[in-house]
Amino acid sequence: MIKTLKHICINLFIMLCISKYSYAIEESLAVKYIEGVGQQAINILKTPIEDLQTRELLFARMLNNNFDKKLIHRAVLGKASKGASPEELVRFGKAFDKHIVKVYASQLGVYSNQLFIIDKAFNKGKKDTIVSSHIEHETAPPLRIDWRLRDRGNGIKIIDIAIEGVSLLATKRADFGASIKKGGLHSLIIDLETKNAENK
Amino acid sequence: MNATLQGDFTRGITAVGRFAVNSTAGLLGLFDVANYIGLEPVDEDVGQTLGAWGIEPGPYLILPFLGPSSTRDLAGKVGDWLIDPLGLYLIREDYEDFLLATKVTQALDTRVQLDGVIEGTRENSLDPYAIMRTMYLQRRARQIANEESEDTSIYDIDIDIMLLD
Repeated sequence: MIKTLKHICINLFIMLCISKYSYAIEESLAVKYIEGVGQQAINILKTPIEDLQTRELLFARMLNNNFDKKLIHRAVLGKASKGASPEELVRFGKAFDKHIVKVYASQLGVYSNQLFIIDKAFNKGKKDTIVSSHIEHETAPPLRIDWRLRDRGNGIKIIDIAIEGVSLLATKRADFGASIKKGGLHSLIIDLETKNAENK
Repeated sequence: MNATLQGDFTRGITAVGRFAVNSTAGLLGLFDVANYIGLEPVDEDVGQTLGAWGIEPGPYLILPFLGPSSTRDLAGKVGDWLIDPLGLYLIREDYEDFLLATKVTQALDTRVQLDGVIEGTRENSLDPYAIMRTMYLQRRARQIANEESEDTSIYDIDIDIMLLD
């Protein structure tokens, strides 16, 4: 009983900490923010695919400046982050960021006159704003990208992206599930670091 | 037909308009004239209709040649074949081989189109099966809610619950 109460109190405390400063962003500001991010993404696409180092550098910069990495790390881990030491969380954060940079920098494709168009923005709940956009290309069907934004008191940040309806957070959480089940956060960190080393 | 069955009459009318324009001005569908005049393709199937009626996807399946699916979408595929006028005509005229060749070609075409995504996923993920499964189910959820709708499961992901769960 006491253990359950303690558990509820801890959860409530975390919820309060997370939600204290969060509020939905004004739609016009959200659109302007994503326009800037879209320009950065186009600059990455314009970098030749062979120059993977520059691509990774640009993508890492975009990730650091525009994404709420702390929230993303914790959302991807879920309860696996409970009981983890700060060192383990830092090590996971580094491995995860490297993993994301490697995946996206190599798979983003190249620029060939694509147009980045923002369709609309709307608030979702009290905290989040969704910006819907698409990439238009003469010879390919439009690619839809939805950006989920939140301001937790440190400026507007992206907390999730859905490409053609597929969420980055939900996908990575599914990807890591088996590894976490096998041996917790430690096992996931080892697996991620190994994968990063393989993809050098 | 599927758009109408889902209660989306605007898209249903668009589909009928596309058929009328492309089968006449488009020389029996040889050219997509409808797209030029603003009638964009309506991508619906029976699996989406079943989903719009509230039927859950059920267990995830990987079918030979057809790739990822679910029990609901498998039933939908059977439905798609049953309402495909060209398919019905070929069966009635004993040209099942042509029908089979068409389906195999379509499956190969889809596989080639998705090759980059599939190979990239295999190479970069820790659990390719889990990632393909979630990508398929999320994508279908978005298609069922229709691309431009704000009412999709993606936006309903509760990130604050994810932090604790």
